[in-house]
Amino acid sequence: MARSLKKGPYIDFRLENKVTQLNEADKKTPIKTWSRRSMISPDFIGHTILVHNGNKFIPVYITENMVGHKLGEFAPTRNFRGHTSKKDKGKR
Amino acid sequence: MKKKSCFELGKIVKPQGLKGEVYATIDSDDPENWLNLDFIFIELRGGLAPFKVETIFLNKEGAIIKFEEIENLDQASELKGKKLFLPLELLPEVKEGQFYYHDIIGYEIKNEKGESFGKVDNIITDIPQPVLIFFIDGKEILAPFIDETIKAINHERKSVIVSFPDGLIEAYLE
Repeated sequence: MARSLKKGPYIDFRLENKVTQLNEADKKTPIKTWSRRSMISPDFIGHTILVHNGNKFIPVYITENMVGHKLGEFAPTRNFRGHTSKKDKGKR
Repeated sequence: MKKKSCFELGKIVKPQGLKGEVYATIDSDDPENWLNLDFIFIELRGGLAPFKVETIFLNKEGAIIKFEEIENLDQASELKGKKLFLPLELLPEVKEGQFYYHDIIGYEIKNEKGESFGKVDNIITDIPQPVLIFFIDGKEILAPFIDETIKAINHERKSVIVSFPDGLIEAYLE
């Protein structure tokens, strides 16, 4: 079920505060965040957010067409290396 | 053939039909360029083995390939998930201003003032926004590989001119 419109989009308040402060100071310093569930708002455009993927911070430069998506969508947590075939598996 | 002197063309997704054909994805903007191949290298047990191509034609978003040595469904099934490679020499010449990502690995990273940050270690392209990887004092630094940060690439001097946002490198060195 989609999030209620009444509530508005979810954005981690610490992240939102940092972006607001940077916008007021007209700075583009990258921001580290673990909040992958935060939605990208139009205020984020032009900022570089370092989104944690469970292992490292992936830099994401926010552009206009990312607005409305979640930060986590741009920092994948899994690195697909292919499946092991039966023949490649070792014998006991 | 060594893997370093090849590029990844695509991947075998599944066997196709009963006569040993396979369906493969072709990772290229112009897959039509790859319809006249004699050989394709397939990654098997860590090495690359050449397979002679009998027929190849485009289908949906990939291609259906028949290799000479593969004659039935069982043999084709064994190739499922294997990656396809071709020698780097077969890559078409790029237009002016364009480049292949693998070309710039090892290039020096400099800012517009001429300060050096190290050498390009890798470029991750399988994520929504490509990322440039380099090392400073043994620490891994990641930077977005986009027009806003990459200002120019000088192939003669083997350098990448970058303009990172203030504090990006410091964020990784903390």
